[in-house]
Amino acid sequence: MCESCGCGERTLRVTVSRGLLSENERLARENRAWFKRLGVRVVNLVGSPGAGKTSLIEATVRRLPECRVGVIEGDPETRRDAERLSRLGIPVAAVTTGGVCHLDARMVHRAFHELAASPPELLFIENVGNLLCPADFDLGEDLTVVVLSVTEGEDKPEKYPQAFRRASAVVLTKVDLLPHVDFDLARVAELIARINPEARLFPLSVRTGEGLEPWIEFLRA
Amino acid sequence: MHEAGLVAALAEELLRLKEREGAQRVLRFTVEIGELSGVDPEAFRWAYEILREMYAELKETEMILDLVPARFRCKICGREFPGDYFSLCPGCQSPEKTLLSGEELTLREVEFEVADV
Ligand SMILES: Nc1nc2c(ncn2[C@@H]2O[C@H](COP(=O)(O)OP(=O)(O)OP(=O)(O)O)[C@@H](O)[C@H]2O)c(=O)[nH]1
Ligand SMILES: [Mg+2]
Ligand SMILES: [Zn+2]
Repeated sequence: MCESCGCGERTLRVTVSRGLLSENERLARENRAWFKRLGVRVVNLVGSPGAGKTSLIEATVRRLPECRVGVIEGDPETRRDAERLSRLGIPVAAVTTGGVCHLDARMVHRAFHELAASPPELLFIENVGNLLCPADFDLGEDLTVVVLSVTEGEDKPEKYPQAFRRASAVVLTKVDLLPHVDFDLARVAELIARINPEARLFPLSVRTGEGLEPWIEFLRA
Repeated sequence: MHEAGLVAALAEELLRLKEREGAQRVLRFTVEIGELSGVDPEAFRWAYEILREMYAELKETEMILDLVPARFRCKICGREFPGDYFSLCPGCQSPEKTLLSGEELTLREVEFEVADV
């Protein structure tokens, strides 16, 4: 305080209490309203690099022929996954994040402009391969789904609890490889339940098709 | 982690508030970081130091980090306890609990220098 020295300046203290992510949250609310207006159901797929996110979208699209599916594909550098999905004959909007480790609501907003003219009924957002950063960024989705493959090791829920915290569902994928890896499905289910008792679990394999049906039913509901 | 993105948003917010208050300078501000927020305070501070070099207006602005410990309340017996997502209630061993604090990522308070007119 400078009142005493008479230099004509004083200190002003302002209570803000504003979340550091509040701007993203505001944009996410706008996205959510937009999606709702157009009747689009939005699923944000979050998982490590190579977890099986793109494969899961491919398998899901094949099993939902009656449903118009679209994808927003977040890739740090390349358009490879976007091209892979375009081959299914579905609309895909690619977001190259230029090295950024997560999608945010603004990127999704921009990308959705490409799809909004004929909006899909079900929109997958494949987030950047990363279990850490995407967890903080609401995109305006209806469902956040963590894709965790059994080859990643069973300590992932303990290491990245934030990712599981707000997930509506966890897809435990590549279960066809269970005989070859140390991955105790029951223990992982127990850890996930500790973090987020509401999360639904879908153990499945895109390779064999095992377990896909409950996942498809979940999306239909 | 995206600490860099977080501090960039923070800087914009500080400058916006400075404008709003018609202040001369931002003297210092306090950010609450919850123990379970996923943000590493060291990395956050480091990101701020780098960012500060890019904003002449923040060169002398001090950042105070307030680390908020995680606290839970047992849904069964009502006991409050510190811990993480995996902790069981120390009273009744139940895993069912409500988070009371620890996920904060909040700009709480800002101190400005204003001219007295
Ligand atoms: N055995 C087996 N392999 C699978 C399964 N699902 C995906 N894969 C394989 O896992 C690898 C990675 O799959 P992607 O779908 O590209 O993974 P992603 O999560 O999209 O990867 P990024 O976009 O690079 O982060 C590929 O070689 C897939 O063939 C599965 O259910 N079983
Ligand atoms: Mg992919
Ligand atoms: Zn208890």
